Amino acid sequence: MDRRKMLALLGASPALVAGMPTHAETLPEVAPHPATPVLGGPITVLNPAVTPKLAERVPLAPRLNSLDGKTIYLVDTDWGGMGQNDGILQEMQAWFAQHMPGVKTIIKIKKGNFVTDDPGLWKEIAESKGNGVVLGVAG
Amino acid sequence: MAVAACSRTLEQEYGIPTAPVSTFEFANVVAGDRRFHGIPLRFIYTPHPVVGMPPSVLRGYIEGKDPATQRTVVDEVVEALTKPVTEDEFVGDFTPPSRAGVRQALLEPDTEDNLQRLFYERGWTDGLPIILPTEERVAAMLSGTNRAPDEVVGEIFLHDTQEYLSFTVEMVAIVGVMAGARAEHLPVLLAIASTGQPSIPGSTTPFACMLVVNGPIRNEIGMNSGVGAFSPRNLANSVIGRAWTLLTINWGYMRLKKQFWTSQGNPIGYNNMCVAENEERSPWEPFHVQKGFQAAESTVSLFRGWSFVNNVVGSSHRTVGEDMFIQLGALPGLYSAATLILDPLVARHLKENEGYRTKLDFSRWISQNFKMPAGQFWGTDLIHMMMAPLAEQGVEPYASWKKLPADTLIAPYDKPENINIVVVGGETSPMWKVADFAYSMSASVDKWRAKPATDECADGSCGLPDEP
Repeated sequence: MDRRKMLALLGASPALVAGMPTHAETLPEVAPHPATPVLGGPITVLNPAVTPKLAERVPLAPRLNSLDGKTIYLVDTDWGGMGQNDGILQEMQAWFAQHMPGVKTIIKIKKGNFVTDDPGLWKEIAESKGNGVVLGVAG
Repeated sequence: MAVAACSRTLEQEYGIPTAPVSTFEFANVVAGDRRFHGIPLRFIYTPHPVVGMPPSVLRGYIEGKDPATQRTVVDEVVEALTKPVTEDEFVGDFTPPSRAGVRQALLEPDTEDNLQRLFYERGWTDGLPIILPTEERVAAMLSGTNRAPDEVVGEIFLHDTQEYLSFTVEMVAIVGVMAGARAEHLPVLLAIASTGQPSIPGSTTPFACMLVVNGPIRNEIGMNSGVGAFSPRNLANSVIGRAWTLLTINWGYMRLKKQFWTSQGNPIGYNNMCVAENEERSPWEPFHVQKGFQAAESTVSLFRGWSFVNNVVGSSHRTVGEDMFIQLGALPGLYSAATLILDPLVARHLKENEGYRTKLDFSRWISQNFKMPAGQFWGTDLIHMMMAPLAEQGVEPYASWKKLPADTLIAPYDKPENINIVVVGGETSPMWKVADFAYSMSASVDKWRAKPATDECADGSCGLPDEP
């Protein structure tokens, strides 16, 4: 057994045995906090809360009169990784085909991961006259 | 929230009606998003989860009831796209929440016990007792900086509510008092706060962070970079690490099921592995110098990941690097990020016996020599979720790796500059930790000081015990 292994098994290192400095810490004397209140008496303390700003109201885009004859994009945001999560949109597409055949549905998977934007896809939908979007599904 | 953000873009920038869909698990997030971002998105909910469910279950979800409204999901989808927009869609969602409004600087006077309970019940603490932030204590804390109490230190963005919060020097001082910090710690806390980085980011995953202090202030405030530096013993390490989490709580990151989602959590969040680098015993340049700061400057550097693995009894049968390969194999290799935390004994061994002149030399060796089967790399869900999209976009080397047979070896840590090395430890044994932490950023401490670093401490040697 070599020296290094033996020392390791003993719980010591060659460096320790060699008497090398082992400490880069100083423990300064700690003064008590100022004005320590008397236990039991009323105390006034500062509020730690941070106040957020409320946003201005923004309306939704105008809605469609009906979906008949319209093109609706079903966009998978790729929650969970590629190809993991568009099953529910496939089921939705099948439902539209069966119950609202006048609606054209197109499934698209958003590029990037689930937290990234995909401006190219939004532009593609707008330029191809997409009338509406179903977007999801988180979870 | 990603679905809400994309929906807002489609509605506002392109004028396209959008029906956003989420599982009911995230209903609280959605409510906050509607309230603070000012647009009444017509969210539709399905049961949770969707990922991994078979087609029959998913069909049942869309033909079944929305758990929030008890109405049929597909009916709500049609309605979300066709029902005319009305003014009253704002009603209800836009009642200011309890956190909004004018902030009262002082709370109503009460007993210490009642205030301790109040702070906990309001969600302002980690559950451990705090030092109550009296006016006197906060004033004493503020003596640790030359900055005005009302100076804005930074601003943060909360994904769940899509809101911005700005916070002042005084607010950081209040949290510092609560954590048990002293005035001399305040410049470090302000530097941390100035990054706007939470120690517990909103995620369902068990995120963990590490905080490393460099430069003369380490010794001026008595931080531990030596024996047991990561253990709960040293006041400065303990309270600075805790203060970061109390700041995070104060910023709103720990609101249950709104920003705080981590399924199991991570105990690292109690202290965030707050340490100083042992610059005096390291054979290499300090971490902050690697990042462009002067050695005499003081900084905080922040790291984020999930896990670390300890080496326990040195490395006498393999080289240090070969031992690290085993540990790296248990980590995902996301974006080539890893952080190696080396005891000075190990760092000096690598330099003096194995010839790595710099930290980057060793990182390059790791980058070039650690291999993993492509199948193992892509088979990790985290990698698949975050990096497969890059491969699909043609980003190299990921695009090429994605085409390889599963048993082909790749070098997943392809960016040596993302393999960080920090020297911490007391030289009682040649130990190290291998973490999946990525480097986030560094921030100057000196700009927040009450006075410049003294010449005596400029080399980082003051406060050290005398040599035996």
